[in-house]
Amino acid sequence: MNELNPSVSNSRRLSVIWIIPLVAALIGLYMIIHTLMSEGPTITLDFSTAEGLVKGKTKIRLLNVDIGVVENVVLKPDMTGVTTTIKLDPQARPLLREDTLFWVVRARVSASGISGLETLLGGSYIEMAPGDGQLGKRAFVGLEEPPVTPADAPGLRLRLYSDRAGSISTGDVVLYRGYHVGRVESTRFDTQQRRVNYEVFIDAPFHELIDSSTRFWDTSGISFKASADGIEVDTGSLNTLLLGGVSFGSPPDLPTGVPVKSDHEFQLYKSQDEILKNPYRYGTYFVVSFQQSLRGLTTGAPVEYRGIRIGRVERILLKETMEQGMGGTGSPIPVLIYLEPGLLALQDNPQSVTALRKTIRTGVTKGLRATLHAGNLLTGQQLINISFFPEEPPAELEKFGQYTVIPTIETGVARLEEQVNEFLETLNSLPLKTTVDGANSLIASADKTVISLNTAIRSVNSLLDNDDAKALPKELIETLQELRNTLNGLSSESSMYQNLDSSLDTLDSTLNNLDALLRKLSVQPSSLIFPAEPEPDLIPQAGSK
Amino acid sequence: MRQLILLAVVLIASCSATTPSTQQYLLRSDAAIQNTVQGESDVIGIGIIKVAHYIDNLGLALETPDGAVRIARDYQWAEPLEDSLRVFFSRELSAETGRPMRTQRNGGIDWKKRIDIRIDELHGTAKGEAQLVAYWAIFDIDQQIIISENEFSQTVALDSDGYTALVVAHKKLLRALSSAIAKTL
Repeated sequence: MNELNPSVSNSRRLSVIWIIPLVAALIGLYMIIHTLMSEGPTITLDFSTAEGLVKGKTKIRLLNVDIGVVENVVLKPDMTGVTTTIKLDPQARPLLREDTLFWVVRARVSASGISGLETLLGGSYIEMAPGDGQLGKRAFVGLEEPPVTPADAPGLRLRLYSDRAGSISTGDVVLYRGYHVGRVESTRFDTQQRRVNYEVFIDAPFHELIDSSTRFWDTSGISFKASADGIEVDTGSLNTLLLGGVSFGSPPDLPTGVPVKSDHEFQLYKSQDEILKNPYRYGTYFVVSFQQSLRGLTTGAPVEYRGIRIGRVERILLKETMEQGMGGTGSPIPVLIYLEPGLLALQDNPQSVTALRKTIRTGVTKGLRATLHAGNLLTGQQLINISFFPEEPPAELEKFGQYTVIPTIETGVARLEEQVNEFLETLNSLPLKTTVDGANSLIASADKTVISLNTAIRSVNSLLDNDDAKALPKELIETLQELRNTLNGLSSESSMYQNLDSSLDTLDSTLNNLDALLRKLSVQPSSLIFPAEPEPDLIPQAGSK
Repeated sequence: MRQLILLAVVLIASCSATTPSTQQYLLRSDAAIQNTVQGESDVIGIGIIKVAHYIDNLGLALETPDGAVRIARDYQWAEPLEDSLRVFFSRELSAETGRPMRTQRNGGIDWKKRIDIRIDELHGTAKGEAQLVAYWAIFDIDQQIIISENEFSQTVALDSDGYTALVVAHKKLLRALSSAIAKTL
C-alpha cells in the first residue's frame, strides 16, 4: 500500500512579488538623487538690516540675470542683524567662492549721487560679484554698501594715511592733473597709530603713473594764499570742491622712483604746497651742539653743505639736555637737524639714508664739521653749515641719546678773533728788518743799472743820428729785393727751373735707351754692324686665348 | 780688289733695304672741356707721373702667350708716355671736376693738393685684353700729409685685332682711371 508523503523542501525562495517594491525603491532613490543633483546650492547671507528683503520675492542677480531667490529671512540670535537663506540656481555653484561679494541694491541718495532708482518700482535685489578664491563657501556676510570698484578691475590698490581726515570720503575721486583716474574705496581711522587710513584704487592704465616718488595730496576745498603777488585762490574741480578728492603727482626735480606693488603705503599730504616744501620722504636725524648763542636759529632753519641746502633744523633739544642733567653746566646746546638725501640729488629711499650716514661718518674723520652762520644780517636769522675743515684734527661721532652727533667748530666773531691772533703772531715772526735792508740794497743796485742803461741809450741814439746809419736800411732793402728776384728765377715755377727739369728728364730717358743698347751690345756685339733681322711685331688678337 | 767691291755691294744692299713703316699713336683725351676759373683758391694739380720701366719707351707693349712681354717696333706712341699721360689726365680730370688742372711737374706755391700717379702696367694681354694697373696718391701741400692712397686695376677686351684696337682699349682704361681719381678729390 502506498502512502502519500508530503515532500518538504528546506530551501527558502524569495517571492517574485518582492520585485515590485524593490523597483519602486530604486525609482524613489533615483528621484531623490535627481532632485538633489538638479537643485542649486543654498547659502546664508548676513546683513545688518532686512530693509528691502522679502521672503520668496527678493531676487539674487548677477549681471541683471536672476540666479536665485531669498527663501527665508530670520533675525540673528544676538539681534545684531538678519540672516537670509538663499536658494541659488545650479549654475551659480561655481560662482560661490571665498571672496564672492553680495550687497543689497536699493535706492540710495548720497553726496556722490543717486543710485538704484530702478528698485523703486521693481523692488530691491541682491547683487552678486563672483570672486576668484577657493570654492565651496556657503555662508557669507553681505556688504552694506556696494563695492566702489569691482574685485577683478585692473589697476592698483594703494593705502594712504594722514594725520587728519579732511573732507575725503568713500567714493571720492582720485585725480592726476585734474583727470579722473581712480577713487577712494574706504576710509578708516586707526586708533593705534592715531591716523586716518584710506584705501584708494587707481584704474589701469593710470596705475603705471605711480612709483615710489609719487606724492598724494588732498585737493578738497579751496586754498587761499596771500603773498606779495596778491591773493591766490586754488581749487580743484567742482566735483572735488563739493565732495573732496585726492590728487597725485611727482614733485619736480625728484628722481624717478621704482614701481610699487598693490597695497603700497603713501602719506596723504594736506596740500601740494606742503609737498613742494618737503618733497622727500626719507631723511635722517643728527645732533649738532654749539657753545655759541643760538639766537636766530629757529625750527625749519636751513642746514647747508657749502651753501647747498641739505636739510633743516628740527628743534633745539633743551628738554633732553635738562633730562640728561646737563642743565646749568655750561655745556653746549644740542640742536636736532634733519638731513634729506634727496636734497643731495640722491635717490629718495632708505638706502640713500644709509649712504648719507656713512658719508658723514667718514667725513668727520677728514674734517667734516658743522658751524653756525648768520643767514640774514638784517633779521639775525642763523643757519647751520656743514663743511670740511681739513686743518681740524680727526674726530669720532658721538651719541646724544639716540642721535648721532656731528662735531662743530666755532665761527663768527670768536673764530675771527682766533684768526686775527694767528695772523698777528705770524706777522710778528716775519724777519721784517732783514727784508727791508735787502730791499734797500736792491734798490741801490737798480739805480746804478738805470744810470748805465741811460748811457747806453744815449750812445745808440748818437749812432742812429749818423747819416751813414740812416742810409743803411735803404741799402739793406734794395739788397733783399735783388736777392728775392734772384731766388724767384730759381723757383720751381721759373722757366729756368722748368727747362732744367725737362732737360734732366730727356737726359734720363736717353740714358735709359742707351742702357738698353749697351745691354744688347753686350749680348751680341756684332749687332752694331750686322743688325739682326727684326722679328715682325706680334699683332694683338681680340679675344684670343 | 774684288773682295772690297763685294763688301761694298753687300753694305750698300743692306743700307738700301726697305725700312718697315712705323705707325705712331697720339695719346690724347677726347673729353671736351671749357672751364674758366678766376682767383681759384683750392688749386689742385698733377704732380709726378711715373710709368713702369718696361713701358717707358715709345713701343706699345704686348704680352705673348708664353708670358713674355714684347715691345712693338713698328707700333709706337707718338711721344713719351709720361708727357702724354700728363696731358691726358689733365684734360680728363678737368672735364670730371669742371675746373682747370695744373700740370707743373713739381707743383706750385699756390697748390693745395697734388696728385701723383704711378702706372705699373699698361699693355695688351695674351687673352686679347688691355690691362692697366696704377696707383695714385693725393697730397695736402700745406700740411705735408697724404690725404689718400688708391690703387686701380682693370682690363678691357679689345674690340678687334691690331694695335689700333689696343690703343683704343688703353684710352678706355686711362679714362676709367681718371674718373676714379676724380672721385677721390
